[in-house]
Amino acid sequence: MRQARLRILAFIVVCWVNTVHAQQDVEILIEKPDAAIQAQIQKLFNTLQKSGDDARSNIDVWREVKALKQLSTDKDKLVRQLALFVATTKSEEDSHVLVAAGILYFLDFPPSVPIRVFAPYLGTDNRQLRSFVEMWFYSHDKAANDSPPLRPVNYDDYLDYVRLKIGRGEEIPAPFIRYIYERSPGQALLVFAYAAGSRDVAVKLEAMHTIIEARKQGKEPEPQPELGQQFEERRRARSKEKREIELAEHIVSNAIWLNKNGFTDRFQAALPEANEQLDKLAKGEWWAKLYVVYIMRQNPPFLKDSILRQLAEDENKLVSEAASSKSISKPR
Amino acid sequence: MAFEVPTVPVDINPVISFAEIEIANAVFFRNVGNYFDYFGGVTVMGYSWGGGLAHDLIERLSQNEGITTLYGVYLDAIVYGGVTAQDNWPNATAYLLNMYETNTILIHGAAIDPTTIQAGATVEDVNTTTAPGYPGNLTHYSIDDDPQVQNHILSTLAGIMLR
Repeated sequence: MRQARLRILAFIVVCWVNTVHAQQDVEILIEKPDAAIQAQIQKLFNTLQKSGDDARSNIDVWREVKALKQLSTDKDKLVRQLALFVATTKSEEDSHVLVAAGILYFLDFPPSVPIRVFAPYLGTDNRQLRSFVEMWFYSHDKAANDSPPLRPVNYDDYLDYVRLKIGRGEEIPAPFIRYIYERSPGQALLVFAYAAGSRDVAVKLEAMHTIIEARKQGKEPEPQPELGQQFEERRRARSKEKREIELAEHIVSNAIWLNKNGFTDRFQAALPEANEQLDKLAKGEWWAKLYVVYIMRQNPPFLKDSILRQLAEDENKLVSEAASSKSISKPR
Repeated sequence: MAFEVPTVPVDINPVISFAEIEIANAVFFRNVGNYFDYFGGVTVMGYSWGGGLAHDLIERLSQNEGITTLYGVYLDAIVYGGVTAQDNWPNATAYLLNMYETNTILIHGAAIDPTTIQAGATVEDVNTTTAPGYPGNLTHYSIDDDPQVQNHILSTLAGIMLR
């Protein structure tokens, strides 16, 4: 009996430690709680719950939104604190997750803010935070499988995000990369193809900045034609590469469309060229290889075991993991 | 010259496309815009919705042609076709001068969101309502006529570009 009690106690302690540990993880992951902001989020949360079915016309809601915004001019901080609130709050059937999405709506920040803040937490172990973050991304990009043909997929803001990250030499969070490829491999490929030259642009901007500053100080810098020539050569190479990727994506997505819409004969005719493009991309940059993996996994007629086996050995971890994994599904 | 302010956003994409092709032609075939050789470059300026379009044109030049704009100017820039301030740094601009006022209700520019600025770029925000030396009473409808504002745009241009 005593042993059983001890086991139960040990179980409770383990559960408690795990819960605390998980909570601490999220807190470390996001940011330390700011007491004033957390209290105001809670106040706004309570006001929204009492606001009836038309919160947008409720003056109390707007008053609390304004009070929240006045606590910090740092938009990223407010959104991080909201994410922390979501991750650490308990509610019946996680209703607070939906209300928090409403708070984000009322804050009316540009999409660049949630993209920046949430990108690392796609796929987090914290269930509420994962739901909250995924909900925001889903409604933003509308890249669900079988979405109506007239509803455009929006990856435009993702391009801005990736471009800035590459230009600044910062790492792009792996969960975000997996997410955009899973949802829409073609759009993800184009995002990386368009953003690929961003580091070159940043280097060029820095070189221009040096000359501008020198001229501001009254100096007359020497012309640097060789440097200009180098940038021009890089630009030409990038431009050529981008066009080839655009064409490849178009050929593959066209073949997928023919197959999906039952144009069997036309699909069979288009398949060899699409496979040829996939073979080529499988030898390209890591982001092109990742595209090949997702296309093959999501569209069985394109699947080639030899290519997947080769990519499973790739030095890029994202590529090798995706190629080894059996779990890539159709976009949600 | 009398200027009729548009109140309905016409489909200006063909105009931007034309400008894009013209600029690309000048850069690639008429040797315009080589900054490292003789300090030339591409400059794009726009006022109000034109500021919003300046953003779009600069981004197109970068995205489609690989052209880096040397000098961009937003003058009380508004997102084209909308009513919100154009506060995004346009990829890719070496020097962006962003002049705006905050006297006009709703329709006015704003400081550039620093999180959108690429490494190496320079952004100069001037709020004429609060910046010393500028008449604090400029509105969306008078900022483009102000000689001090015009001088600052032109002197900055002269300081950056030789030809």
